[in-house]
Amino acid sequence: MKLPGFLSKLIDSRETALIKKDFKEMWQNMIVRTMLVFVPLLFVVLLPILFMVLAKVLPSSSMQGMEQMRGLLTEKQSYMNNQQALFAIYSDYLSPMLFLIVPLMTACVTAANSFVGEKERSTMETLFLTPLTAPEIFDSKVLGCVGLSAISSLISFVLYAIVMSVGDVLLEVRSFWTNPNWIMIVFLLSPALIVFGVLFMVLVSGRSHSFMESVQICGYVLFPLILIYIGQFTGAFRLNAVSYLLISFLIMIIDFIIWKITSVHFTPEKLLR
Amino acid sequence: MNAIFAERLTKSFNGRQNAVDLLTLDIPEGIAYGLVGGSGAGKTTVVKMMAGLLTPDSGQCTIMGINPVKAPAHLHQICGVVTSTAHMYACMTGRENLILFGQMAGMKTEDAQIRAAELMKDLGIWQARDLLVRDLPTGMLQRISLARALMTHPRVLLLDEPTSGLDTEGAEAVLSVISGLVREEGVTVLLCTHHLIYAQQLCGQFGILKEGHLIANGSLETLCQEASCHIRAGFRLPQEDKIQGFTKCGDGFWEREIDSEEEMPDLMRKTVAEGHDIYEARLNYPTLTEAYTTLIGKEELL
Repeated sequence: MKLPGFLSKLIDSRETALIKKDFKEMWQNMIVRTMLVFVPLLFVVLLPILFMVLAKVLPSSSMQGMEQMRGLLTEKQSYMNNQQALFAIYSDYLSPMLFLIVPLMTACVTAANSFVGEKERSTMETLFLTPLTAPEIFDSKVLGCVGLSAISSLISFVLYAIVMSVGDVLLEVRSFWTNPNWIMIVFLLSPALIVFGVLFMVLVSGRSHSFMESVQICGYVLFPLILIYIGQFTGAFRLNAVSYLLISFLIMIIDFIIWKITSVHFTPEKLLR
Repeated sequence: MNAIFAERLTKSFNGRQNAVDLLTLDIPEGIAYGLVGGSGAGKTTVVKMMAGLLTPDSGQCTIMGINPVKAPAHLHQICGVVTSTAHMYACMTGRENLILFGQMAGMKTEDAQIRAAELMKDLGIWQARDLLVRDLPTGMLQRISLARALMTHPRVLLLDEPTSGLDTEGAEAVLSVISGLVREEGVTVLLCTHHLIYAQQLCGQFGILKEGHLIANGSLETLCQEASCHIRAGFRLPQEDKIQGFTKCGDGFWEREIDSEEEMPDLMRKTVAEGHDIYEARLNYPTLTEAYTTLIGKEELL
């Protein structure tokens, strides 16, 4: 496997060897493999299909509480019948949060395996005995985790776009492709969350003693996403493209701060305690 | 230039007791130096400080003039390190591990493959080249770790218990490779071990470490002098015979201490002249174990 040209310029062959080794190790770990394949499939393919089928087959009369839920629709969406409205609400409010679980979880799990797992298996010390510097090891590992999570998230988005397009056609709505929020979510918020997930795991890796312990910590990272989802669904606030842009920038600032902290603390003395 | 230099090296993990206390070492290039001591003596801490894995609280050390705290990566280009806590990747074969570490050291894949094969053959682990590391016995793992440290043709080797977990045959293979490196390639070796027999077999200079303090340092001769351990001349006499000034050993030999082996011919002549028949004669040289036991004992009395 050869790295793309632009990446080869950024990292040398020694770091490439480390990244390839990390990929191989991740793929051989069943929990990581499950997270990289089945979590995206569940959140961006199976759940949207389930919602789409429900919206299509459920008769309008059996939909309870639709009047209150219609309040979440925009003026442009007021023409929609109950089935269309249900699908549009899913598309606008629920699915972005479900989609964002993918980059965040994949980033956390890959980083947990790459940093905590390596420490747990006592191979981190062996890495520190190579002619790679601590910053080179840190950068290669972060790059590997970010790269793998980004690929997983991008593939997830393509699959999600296909499923939602089918939904738009079947339910005769124009919900997904007219929503500009997705541009911010895919190109700004997801990368920012991936970097956050990876660096957060590096931050806790010093205190975490096992891969499983750190995977459990991943759960806490999802908490803010759940709060945003509840806030939107109860009508407390509504996120638009600008809000996503601002949140992305805020997370990028947090990423920068955590990166500064973690890169300084990534030393054999602190990690091998 | 001294290959390994340490000056007043001190490290504490709890702030109360020093794991290594004011250690000063000066090891010339091209020799094997055995740093021996019991469990908790501070051997591993010394290796880890010299390898750049731990930062000394005070004092400093250099390996071939490189400070491990300031330039650990540069150091690892010329210095191979084996510690019992640095493991190999369990999901890869021994050979894949060696090639990976070669690549991470900047070697081309082809060169790493050739070097890995060469080392695995030398260390007697070639037959296990395609087995996953997780399926290998401890002895093989230990030899793969040594092969990893040797991948880049290091000029200095820091070895922490490299024979631990090895059977006699495995330990002999490891020692033979290391002694070949010292003899033929002029590699400097710091061997930290509690296996005194192996240390004596490989090393020409020794340091005895006790609770972080270097209590003795020098050649075996120096340590023996310090410990007042002498050469013992031994004679096997007829069963009913007794000899004045000698002590009878369990194996039937009569022994007494002498200052040097030059005394032996005279002692034999004198014994025969006194009317004793000598069936067998031998010289028992003091071992590192004897010197170590005496010096550690002396230290405890102080």
